[in-house]
Amino acid sequence: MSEHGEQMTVTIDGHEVEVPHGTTVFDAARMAGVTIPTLCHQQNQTPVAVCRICVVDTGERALQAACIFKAEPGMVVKTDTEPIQAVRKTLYELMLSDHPAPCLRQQQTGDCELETQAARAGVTETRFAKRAVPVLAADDSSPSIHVDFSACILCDRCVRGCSEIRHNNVIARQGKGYFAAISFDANEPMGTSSCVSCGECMVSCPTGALTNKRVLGQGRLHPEGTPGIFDVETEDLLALPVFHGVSGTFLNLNKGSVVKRRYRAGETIVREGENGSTAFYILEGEAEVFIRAPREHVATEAASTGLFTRMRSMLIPKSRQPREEERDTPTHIRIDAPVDLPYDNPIATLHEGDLFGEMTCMSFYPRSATVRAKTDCVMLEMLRNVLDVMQKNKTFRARLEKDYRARALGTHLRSVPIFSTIGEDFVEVLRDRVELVRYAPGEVICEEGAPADAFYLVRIGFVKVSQKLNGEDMVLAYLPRGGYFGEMGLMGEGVRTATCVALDHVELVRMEAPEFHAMLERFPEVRQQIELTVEQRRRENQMQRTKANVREQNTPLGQFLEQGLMDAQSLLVLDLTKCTRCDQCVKACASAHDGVTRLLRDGVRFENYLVATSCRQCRDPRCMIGCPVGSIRRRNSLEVMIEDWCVGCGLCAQNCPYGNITVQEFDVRGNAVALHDVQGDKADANAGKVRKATSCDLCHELSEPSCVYACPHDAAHRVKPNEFFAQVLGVDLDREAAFVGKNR
Amino acid sequence: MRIDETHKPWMIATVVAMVAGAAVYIPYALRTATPGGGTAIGLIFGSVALGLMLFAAMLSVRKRFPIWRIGRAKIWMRAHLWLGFLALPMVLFHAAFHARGALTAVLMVLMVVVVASGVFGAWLQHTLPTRIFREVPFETIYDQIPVICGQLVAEAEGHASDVTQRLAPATGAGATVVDTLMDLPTMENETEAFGRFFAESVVPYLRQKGARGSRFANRDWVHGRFEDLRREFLPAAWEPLTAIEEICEEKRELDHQRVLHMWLHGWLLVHLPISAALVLLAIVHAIGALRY
Repeated sequence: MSEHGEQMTVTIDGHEVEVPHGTTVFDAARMAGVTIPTLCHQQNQTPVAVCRICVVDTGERALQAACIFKAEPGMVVKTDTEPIQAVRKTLYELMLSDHPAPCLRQQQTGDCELETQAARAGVTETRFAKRAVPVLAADDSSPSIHVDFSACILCDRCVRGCSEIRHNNVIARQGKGYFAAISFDANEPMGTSSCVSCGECMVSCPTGALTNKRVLGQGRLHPEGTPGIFDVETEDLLALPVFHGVSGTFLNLNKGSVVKRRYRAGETIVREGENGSTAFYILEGEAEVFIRAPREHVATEAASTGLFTRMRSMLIPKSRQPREEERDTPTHIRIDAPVDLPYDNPIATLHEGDLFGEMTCMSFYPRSATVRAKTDCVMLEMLRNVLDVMQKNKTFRARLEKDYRARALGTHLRSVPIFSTIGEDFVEVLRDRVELVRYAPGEVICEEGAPADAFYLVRIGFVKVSQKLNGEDMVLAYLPRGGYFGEMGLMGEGVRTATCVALDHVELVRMEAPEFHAMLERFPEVRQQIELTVEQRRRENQMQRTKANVREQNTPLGQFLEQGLMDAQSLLVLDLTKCTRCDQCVKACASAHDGVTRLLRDGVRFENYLVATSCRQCRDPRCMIGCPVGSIRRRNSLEVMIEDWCVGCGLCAQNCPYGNITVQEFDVRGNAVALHDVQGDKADANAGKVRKATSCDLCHELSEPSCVYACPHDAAHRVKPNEFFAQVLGVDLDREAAFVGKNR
Repeated sequence: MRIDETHKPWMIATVVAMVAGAAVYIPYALRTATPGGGTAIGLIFGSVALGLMLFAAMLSVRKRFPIWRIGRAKIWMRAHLWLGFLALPMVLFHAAFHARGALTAVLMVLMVVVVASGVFGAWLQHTLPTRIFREVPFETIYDQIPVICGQLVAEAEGHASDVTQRLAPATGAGATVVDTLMDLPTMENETEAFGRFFAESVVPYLRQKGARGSRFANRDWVHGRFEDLRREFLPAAWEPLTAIEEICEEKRELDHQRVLHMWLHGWLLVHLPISAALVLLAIVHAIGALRY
C-alpha cells in the first residue's frame, strides 16, 4: 500500500506524471494536462462518481470513475479509448433522453454542460425513448432561482454546493428510481423552504435545472413599482463606498436582491417577533431601536386597589424577583443590531453606516426588536446572498469593524457581566486590539486539547461548547450574543478545555492571548472577575463530567435515560397511585398565571410516576438556542426562566423537545402602554396584545409551586430526578457529584 | 386521598378526641335522666359537631382558591377526612343517640349518609388511582377521551384499508409475472367479509361511548375473532390486523378508564349535595334550638 505524502509516478494517455500518494486518477490527469470529461464532479466538492462520464481504463477488470478512483504507483491509465467513448456516448444518450434539449440554460447562455459535452462527443440524437413517468412541474416559488426538474441529471452538485460549501443543508435527494429528484427541506417549494438564495446551487448546476431568474428576466426582492422602494443600478451601488470591491457581475446578476428604501420619520421599519429574511444598512438618517416594555414575568391579576385585591395580596404574599442575587444580573437586552438595549430603558439609536437584522437575514431568526425611523432615512435592504458577499468584502468589513469599535464595543463589553464595571480607559485599550471574526454554521472555532491562543466574545449567533467524554460529545453550554469563552485555556494550562462550534452564522470578537494577559495585568478587577468565572465553570464542568461518568457506568437506567429524565434538573411528578385526576394542580397553575396553565397532566411515565408536561429545567437547555433577544436564560440556580422582554417569536417552544413551552397572548398593561404612548407607537398600544413564551417558572415568586401546594392528595411533587429516583436507579448522582467536587 | 402512614397522627388525634368525648359523655349520660342537646354538655357537643361540619365544608371553598396560601391543600384534605369523621360521634353525643323530632331525625340520617358516603369516597380514592394506574396503561386526560376515540377510528380505518390493499391482487411492474408464476389465492370473499365486519362491528364499537352490549368489551372474544382473521388471511395482512386489534384494546382501556373515573368522582354527586343540605339544616337547627 502506498503512503500519503510520498510521490509516485503514473502514466495517463502516455504522459508520465509524478503525483502524491492518495491522488485520484482525475486529478493526476489534470496535472498531466489531460482533460477527462465529467458532469458530477467539481474541484471544490467531494467526488461522488454518480454520472460515470469520467470512466477510464486503469487496467482493472472494469472501467473506473476517475474522479473517485485513487491512482497507484506505476498505474497506466487510458482516458479516451473506443470502448470508453462508447460508454460515454451511451451515458450522454441516456441523460439526454430525459433532458429538455435545449434546456433554459442552453437557450440563454449556450453553456449547458450536458448538451455541450454530448455534442462534442458526437451525440446529437438519443436512441432511448423519453421517460413514461411524468416529471415534477417547474418550481418558480423562489424569488431568485428557477427550478426545472426535467433538466436535472441528478449529479448532486447542487446538493454538495448547498451542504459542503455553504453549509446550508437545504437541498437533498428524495425518492428513488424514476421518482428520484432534488428537493428542498422536507420536499417543500424552494420559495417556502429555508433556502437563503445564496446561489451556490445555481452556480454548481451543470444544466438548466437551476437558473438565475435575473437571467430569465424574473426575480426581485419586492415587486417593481412598490412605493418607497427603488431599484438600485449596479453602477450606483458600486459608487457607494461600502460596495467598493464587490463584483459588479454579482450585483448585476442579483439585481433586485438589494433595494433602496426611504422611510419618513416615525415610520416603522421592522417589528419585533416578525419573521424576515433581510438586513438593513443605513445610508442616511437615524433610526431608533426598541422592544416593547418589559412586562412582569408572572402576573396573577391586573393590579388594582380594591378591598378584595388587598385581602388577596395578604393571603398570597408575593415578592419581586430578587435580581440582585443573580450572578449574571442582566443589565442589557441583546438584540440583532450593533447595540444592546439597556434593561431599564430599552431604546437606542442607530446611525448612518449601521447594519441591523444580520441574524434574521443570515439565520432566519425572528426580528429581535422594533426599528423605527427617527429622522427621514434612506436604507439598503438586502437578501442573504448580497449580505453574504458583503460580509466577505474587505471594504465593507473594515467599515463595519471600525463602526463597531467606535460605537458598540464599549456597550457590548459592559453588557457582559465580567466587564460590567470597566471604564472608558479599558475600552480604549481594547479598541484596537480586538478583531471581528466570522464562522459558518458547523465550523469549529477551537478544539479541545488545541493550544489556547485567544479569548472570544460572541457578537452574533450561537456557539456550542462541548467536551469529549467516553467517546461522545457532552454539551456544556450554548453561548448566545454576549457569551464568552477561551478564558479557561488562557488562565489554565494553555490548552483548550472544550470544543467550540458555531451553531449558525457566528461573529466573534477575538482577543489574542498576549493582549488578554496584558489586559488582565493592567486591570486587576477584571482579572478577579474572570478568575471567579473560571472557577465556577470548572466546578460546573466537573459536575457534568461526574454525572456523565456515573450514567455511563449504570446501564440499567435505559428507560430513565431514554425519556431524558437524567438531563432534567427538576421534574413535576404525579404519583399515579395517589392522584385522583382532580386537576387541582392544573387549576392552580392557571390561577397563578393569568388563567393560562403552564402544565399539562400528561406525559411520560416512570415507575408509578407521571412526569407532567412542565418545564424540566434541562441541563442541556436546547430551548435557549436561537432566542433573538436572549430572554430565555438560566438563573444562578440553573433554573431556566423566560424574561419579560420576550418578543413571542416561539423559537424556544419549537426547540423544546418535550413541548413544555407555549406561546400565549397577554394584555399589555401598566408601564407597557405608557412606554408605547411615549414612543408614539399608539397603533401597537391600542392592539393591547403581546405574545410571550411561557413555561413553568416554579412560581418562584411564591414559596412553593402552586401545583404542588394545591394538590389535596399529596400526589404532586417538584423533585430533583436524580435524588428522587435514587432508590430506583441505585445511585444518587448528585451526592456522587458533590463528593467528587469536594475531593477534587 | 391514599390513607397511608402519614395519616397516623390524624388517626390518633381523632381516636383520642373520640375517647375524650366518650369520657365526658358516659358519666354525663349516667348522671342525667334525659341527656340531650339542650343541656350544657349537649350544647358543647353540638357546637363542636357544627364547627367540625363547617370546617369540613370549607374544603370545597379552599379548592376554589387553589393558590391562596392558607395551608397546603393536602393538610386541608386530611383535616377534612378525620375531623369530618369525628363530627359523627360528636353529633351522637350531642343527641344522646336519639332523634327527637323530624328535623333532628333528618339531620341524623343526613349525617350518617354524609359520613358513610365520605368513607366510601375515601375508600374509592384510596384504591381506584392504583387500579387506574395498573389497569389502564393507555390512560389519557379524561376530557380527551372522546378526541382520542375519534383518532382511533381514523387510525383503524387506515389500517383496514391497508388490510384490503395487501390482500388485493398485485398491480404495477412485475405483477403479471408474479401472478403467472405463483398461484396466489384470491381473497375477494374474505376481504369483503372483513370489510363488513370492520364497518358493522369495529367502527360502531370505536364510536360508541362506553361498551355496553358490545362483544368487543370482552378481550378474549376479540382476540379469538382476530385470530380467526389471521388464520384466514395471508401473513402480509397480519400487521394491520394486529394494529386494529390493539386499537380495540386501547378503546377498551379508555372505556375502563371512563368507568373507573366515574366511580372515582361520581360519589361526590351524593356526598356534596347532602353535605350542603346537612350544613344548611344543621345551621337552621342550631338557630332554631337556641332561639326557641
